[in-house]
Amino acid sequence: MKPLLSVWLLLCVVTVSGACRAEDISPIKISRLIDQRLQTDNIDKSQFSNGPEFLRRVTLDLAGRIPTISEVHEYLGSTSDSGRIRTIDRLMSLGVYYRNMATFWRRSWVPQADTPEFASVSDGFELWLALRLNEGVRYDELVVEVMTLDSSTVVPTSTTPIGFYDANQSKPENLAASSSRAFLGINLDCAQCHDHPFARWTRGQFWQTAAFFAPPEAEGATEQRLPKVRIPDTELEYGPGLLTQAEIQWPQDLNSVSLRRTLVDWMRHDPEQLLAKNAINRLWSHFFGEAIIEPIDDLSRVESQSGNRASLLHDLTTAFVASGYDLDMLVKGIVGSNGYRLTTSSTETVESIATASSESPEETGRQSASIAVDPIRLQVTRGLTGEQLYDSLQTAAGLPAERSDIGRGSDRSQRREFSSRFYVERTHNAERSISQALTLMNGTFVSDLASAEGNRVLASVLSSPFMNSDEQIDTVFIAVLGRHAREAELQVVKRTFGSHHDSSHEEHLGNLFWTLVNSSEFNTNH
Amino acid sequence: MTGRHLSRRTALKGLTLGFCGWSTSSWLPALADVAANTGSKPRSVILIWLNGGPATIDLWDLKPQHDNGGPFREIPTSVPGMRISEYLPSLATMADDFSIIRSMSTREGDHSRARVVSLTGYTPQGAIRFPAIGSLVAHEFNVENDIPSYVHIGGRPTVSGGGFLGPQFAPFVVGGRSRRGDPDPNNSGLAVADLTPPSEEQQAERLQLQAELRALSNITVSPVVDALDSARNRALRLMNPKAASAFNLEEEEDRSLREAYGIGAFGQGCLMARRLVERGVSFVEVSLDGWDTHSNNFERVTELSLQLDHGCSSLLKDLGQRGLLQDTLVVCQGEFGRTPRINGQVGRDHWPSSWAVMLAGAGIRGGQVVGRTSDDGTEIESEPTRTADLMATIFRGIGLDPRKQNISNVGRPIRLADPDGNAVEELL
Repeated sequence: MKPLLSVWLLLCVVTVSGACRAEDISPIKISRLIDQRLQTDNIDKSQFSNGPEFLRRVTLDLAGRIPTISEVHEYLGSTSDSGRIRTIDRLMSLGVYYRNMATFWRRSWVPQADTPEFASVSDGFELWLALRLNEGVRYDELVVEVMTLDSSTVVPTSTTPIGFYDANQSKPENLAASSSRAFLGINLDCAQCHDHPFARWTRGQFWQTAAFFAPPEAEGATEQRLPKVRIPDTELEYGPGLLTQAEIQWPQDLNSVSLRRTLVDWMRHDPEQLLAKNAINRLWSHFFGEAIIEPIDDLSRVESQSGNRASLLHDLTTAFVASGYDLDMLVKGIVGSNGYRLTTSSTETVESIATASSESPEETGRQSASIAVDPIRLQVTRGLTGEQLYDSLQTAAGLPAERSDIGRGSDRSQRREFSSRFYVERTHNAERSISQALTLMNGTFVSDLASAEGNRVLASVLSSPFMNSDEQIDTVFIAVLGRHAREAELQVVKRTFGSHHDSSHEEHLGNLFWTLVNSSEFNTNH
Repeated sequence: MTGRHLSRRTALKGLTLGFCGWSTSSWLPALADVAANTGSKPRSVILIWLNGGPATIDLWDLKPQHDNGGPFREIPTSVPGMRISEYLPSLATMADDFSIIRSMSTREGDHSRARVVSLTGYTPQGAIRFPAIGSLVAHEFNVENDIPSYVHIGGRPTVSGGGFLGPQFAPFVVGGRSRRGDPDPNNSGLAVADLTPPSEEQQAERLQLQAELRALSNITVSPVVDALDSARNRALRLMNPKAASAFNLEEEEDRSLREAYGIGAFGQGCLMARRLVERGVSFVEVSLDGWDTHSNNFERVTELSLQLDHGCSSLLKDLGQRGLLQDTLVVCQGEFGRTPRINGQVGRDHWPSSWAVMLAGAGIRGGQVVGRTSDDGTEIESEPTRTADLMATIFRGIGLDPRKQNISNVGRPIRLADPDGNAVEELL
């Protein structure tokens, strides 16, 4: 480990000297940097997604739902470049943008909350995150706030990140594994039990990290001394120690908060900058499906040290740190890039630009390829998260996505219940079970939306005598799929309506709504 | 891997052509369809899952001579020398059909970790998404069927997805909607949620629209779209009234048989398991919850034992009479056993070091007792058996090679059972 580290130190000194200052960083600069690395800076416009495809993608990624009918009309009215940037700005000013990103970061940091056992912590943690993100708090400060939480100050009504501790049962070993994984992208789980011959981290290092989360021991009446943790079923004891050889300045006033602050201070200042790298790597996966470095929980692998993936991550890290860990700037830079605009159908072309690897896209999707010449895959089709699916169904029906979940209600809302039933771990390899498919086809939630009574779009279409049949059908397409019906689609829909003359017009349109929300087009970000 | 993708594609294509999914597909001929890619004869497993960790010292391995034994008495069985709890009277009369391993010894004493290890056969390792044994068995036999090949009855399954084998082999859940695993009082009928479409006329128009619009779709093919299409088509196949009827217990005309299984959700779940196995389903889990008896152990275990006795003995008998037992392996276990020592609340706590499982049917020689525990029940005195050994035994029992490898999501090949495991030869 030592030689590797010194190489890194050297590298960082070089880059820091040539680094950009905060005022130099802008979303446009980040977009350019991405496109230079991806070689998408001078790409042919024909490879960009068209208006509706882009609007649907960017709205799902930023607002967590599909675009409304009026958003589609507005966007299609002005397809200029400035219209695209204006749309990004508008979406990022919505309250749901912060709620959506809060869900994303909560899922990254506290994935346990997606299991029934710890489901109760997610509301409080996401509320805290949404408020902080809305206030524009720097990313590294968010991590510091989680890591230095003083649980003695937490009362039931306060908005705090206590969920992180609850989900880890406040156990030093759980907190060590979770904080390394969530904030540094280091997978220590295996080191908890044994030394693996090829792994970078030892069992001793795992337990040294864990010791930062143990309460200091009292020595005499006033003095505190460093805690020790013992590996279960052994005589081995460890005090707190860092994963690198960096020197530790122990706090004057030793207590459990100051001890954790020592750890998070090292995280922020460690020259490997894993704190920033991990944030960027995870955020990238939110917008592209696959992360820059996979597996997403393991940045200590060789892939993150060299190759085109490592260069991209490195450049973004430099910019992100110089921007003052500004998440919104990073997000705006990513969604403003050409790489983000590519159409899903052009994926293969871009891969051939990025590298000469001949692996088929399907293969790499299923079994993460781990070779050095590994193309950065852009805009693979992604499934919807449970939250996106719920909010999009509501939006398609012209209903507001239920808001009660952002409050502190103790009973789980319909949205929470529905989205946990449709939970997906990662969107680029989202799976769907038969039970979920049945719920979407025959469940009461969708049935209610497929009638004018429970669907404002249908109700308004049916009460608009000035609309002809084509326009009514087209409106349902726009509401659900964010695009106009193609001529051939209009024809088959009308023909089908005609062959079922026992149904009322309301039933026809309800059945069309049902068909579209059950389509693969609706259920992916395409 | 490639073969599976191809076959799924072909199957999907078949479905899109005949747009009214269930007018063309039929599940009966599928039963004869022996999986071509393995060459092994499809067999089935029914796992009776005693959720919470059963006090096996009060079921299969009593200690009436010791304080740890508590108030339960042993009764003789049809096999000389083999004695089990007095609250398993029906099973005692048919001990020739089953065997007991009394020397299970595992390491996990935490419910969720122990469940994962018991059901996958592996200790979680980093990013590898280990599938449950149900998914593995379903994947190996790969029986073409309108009914899902891995069905979980009652509560929530421990591993809800199909692990690295993908969604096609994920457990299909019957009853037990609640995420917390407690039975839904309105769902004692073990219904499959959302199986019935609103009305025939409406469904006809919807399916026609779906087929017509799908034919015009220009959405890019991708693994995610594939998975969505596959789930939707398999859901449609299941909605086929003929397939859906597998879950309809009202079709069982013999009232006395229904009652013999026990009228509760567990007994009826066992009956449903038989119906599913009869229709070619590869793996069925029937869960009986409530075994986490930290307090008041004996009263609760008495009641649970009687449910288990009715359901399990009827199942073995019924399978036998229909000639299905020789191709169906039945396992009865939980995630661990319970402390031989009785605690202050007349309860027993978690105890993975020494416990017992019951096995019957396909490939298993009945009437055997494997292993022995000490007089106080706390120690294994012979033939310690770990999860990996049990897994290997189950795979061998249904004619599968435990060393067979599948490629996992991290690109590393993973064997059906941990290669450390050795099958319990005397049971096979």
